Amino acid sequence: MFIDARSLSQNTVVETGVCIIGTGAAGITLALSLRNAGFPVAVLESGTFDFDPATQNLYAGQMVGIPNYPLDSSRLRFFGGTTNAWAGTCRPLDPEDFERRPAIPLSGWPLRRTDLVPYYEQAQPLCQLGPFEYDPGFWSAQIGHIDQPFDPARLKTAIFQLSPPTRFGQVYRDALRQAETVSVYLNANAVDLTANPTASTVDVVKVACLGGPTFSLRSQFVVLAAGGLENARILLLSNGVQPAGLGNTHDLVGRYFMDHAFFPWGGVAHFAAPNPPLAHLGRPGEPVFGTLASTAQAASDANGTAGFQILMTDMYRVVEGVESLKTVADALAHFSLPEHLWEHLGNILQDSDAIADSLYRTLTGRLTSPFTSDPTAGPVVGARMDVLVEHTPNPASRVLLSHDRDALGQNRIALDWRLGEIERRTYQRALESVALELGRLGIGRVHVKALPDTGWPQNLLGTYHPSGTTRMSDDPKTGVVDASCRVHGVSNLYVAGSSVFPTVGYANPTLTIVALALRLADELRRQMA
Amino acid sequence: MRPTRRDIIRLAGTGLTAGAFQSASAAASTQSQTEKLIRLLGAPRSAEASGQVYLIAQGSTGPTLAALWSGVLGALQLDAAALQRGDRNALKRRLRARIRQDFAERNVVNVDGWILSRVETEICAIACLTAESRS
Repeated sequence: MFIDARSLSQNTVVETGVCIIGTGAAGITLALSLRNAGFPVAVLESGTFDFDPATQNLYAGQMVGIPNYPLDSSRLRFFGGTTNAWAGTCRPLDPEDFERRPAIPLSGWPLRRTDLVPYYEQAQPLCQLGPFEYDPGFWSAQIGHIDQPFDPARLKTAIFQLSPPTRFGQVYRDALRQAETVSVYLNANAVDLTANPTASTVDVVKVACLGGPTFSLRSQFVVLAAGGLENARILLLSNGVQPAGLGNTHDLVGRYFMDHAFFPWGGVAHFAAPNPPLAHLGRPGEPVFGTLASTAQAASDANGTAGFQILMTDMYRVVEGVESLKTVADALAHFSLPEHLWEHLGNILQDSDAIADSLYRTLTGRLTSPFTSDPTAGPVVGARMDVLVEHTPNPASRVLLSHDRDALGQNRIALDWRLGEIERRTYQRALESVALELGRLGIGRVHVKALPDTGWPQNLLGTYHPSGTTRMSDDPKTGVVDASCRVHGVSNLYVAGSSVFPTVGYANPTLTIVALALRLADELRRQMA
Repeated sequence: MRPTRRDIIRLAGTGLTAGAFQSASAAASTQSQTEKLIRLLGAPRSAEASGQVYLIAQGSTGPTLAALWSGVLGALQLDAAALQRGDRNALKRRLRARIRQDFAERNVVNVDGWILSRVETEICAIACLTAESRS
């Protein structure tokens, strides 16, 4: 059921079994999974079913490091969270992402990918995807793309599946409305996790409504599922017993902020022959696409590079025939024939529609002609290459509390996004790998854009994948949560979402977020039993 | 003169069909060894452009023409006589195989951002150094 928290009386105390803070992919997955578990579940959502500027403003913050997307536009604060805007791109993390990698400090998860596979399989239908199948060979058979025999030391084809995208708040709203044991409180902002005097349990979750009442929840277990930035913020703000923030004994909360680094136009590939059989040149309407990506073999290399993927976008030939016509005409005007005459004549014949279109518009001055041809139907002669690089764990890259306060009187976030030499080397290696493989396979040549000697290119972007700020580790000196996603030292507090990722690989995080939430639901059922 | 996109496309298209059809005037001319080597890449002017960029980047320590020839013939496992008498299509296949081997072995050169194989870069450099004598 849904409850408008503004209708509660001031200082109401709600008793529940599990309190989930946030209704993004993680929070809604948890609530769905626990709806038939036999104990009451309370879910807190800051917003309502629609965007509200005043609520959204609670997300505003500042950048103090490398510029990233503004904090109040990179995430959404209403029911469904940022799934209200995500693109739907899904891929599980690779097995090597879970392993210790010699060149990546603090790499390695305290669980194996095989531990997550059963949950990935369950996550697929929740994201309205096909089978849990990411083998390029499988999809080649399904949709006819051909996987190139890349050198496994350099490159592989990474398959991504496309969710519609699933707007969790819309798709699963009725299921939660009908769930008798689940109460979703809208307009409910968790403002403090009040701990016992030894900070070993959360006694009360304090909740405030914008312009409305404050109330509290007493819950056996509390789950932070407010997102990769907000999870850390809530812990840092919950400083009534531990001044540095709850669960922050070792000054790790907020640190190790990671977001994939995205370099648009990192390179351009030019093909020796049009339409090479590359799975990376996806077609609209297909449920999958491929990218070129780093390999397990490269991950074990001690040369110090992380994961990467290269997204290729078709570049089309439109006017080769027109250029050939100009070349022939120019040669004839000088009473000679051009070199490769037959090749030019072939181009002219092949692009006769484009030539007719160009001539008609030139002669008539009109913008369109009866000969207009679709440029996207032309042969693919090259591809733009955007480079996405795994951001590796860096304690200096972090979320902090700023002095600015929001409408609830809470310190806002300052984000200090930092990249380092590993990311720089990974960018270079990514492009070099593609250049070497396309050359080795006779597909074409690559032009690479060098990074500036210092700093980062102005067109560097984040990818809306905030992660790592309550990272997972068996050792409390290197992690905020353990392998069960329980906060070290706080027996009834768990964290869900990408903030627990110790490393991020190159894959989009949502499928892993959902899988981890399903796994956490199993853990909570065990704890409540 | 920086290599353009078109230059590189033409260099990359070292296929059996590239240059298969020639103008009557070109077919009638006598091909020197240099000309024959350069035409294996299929685009002499593009090769000259790329070679010029490469040589400028090398500066005063750049390779001599003799060193380039030695490198290319060594890479192709040919001597000058074999190049002279060799069938064009067979030579193109040999060059293509060598280019692929260069990429497999990371034997490549960055020419103004373009990642090219060593042997094709050296042929481009030969094209640049001999451009005047061939024009």
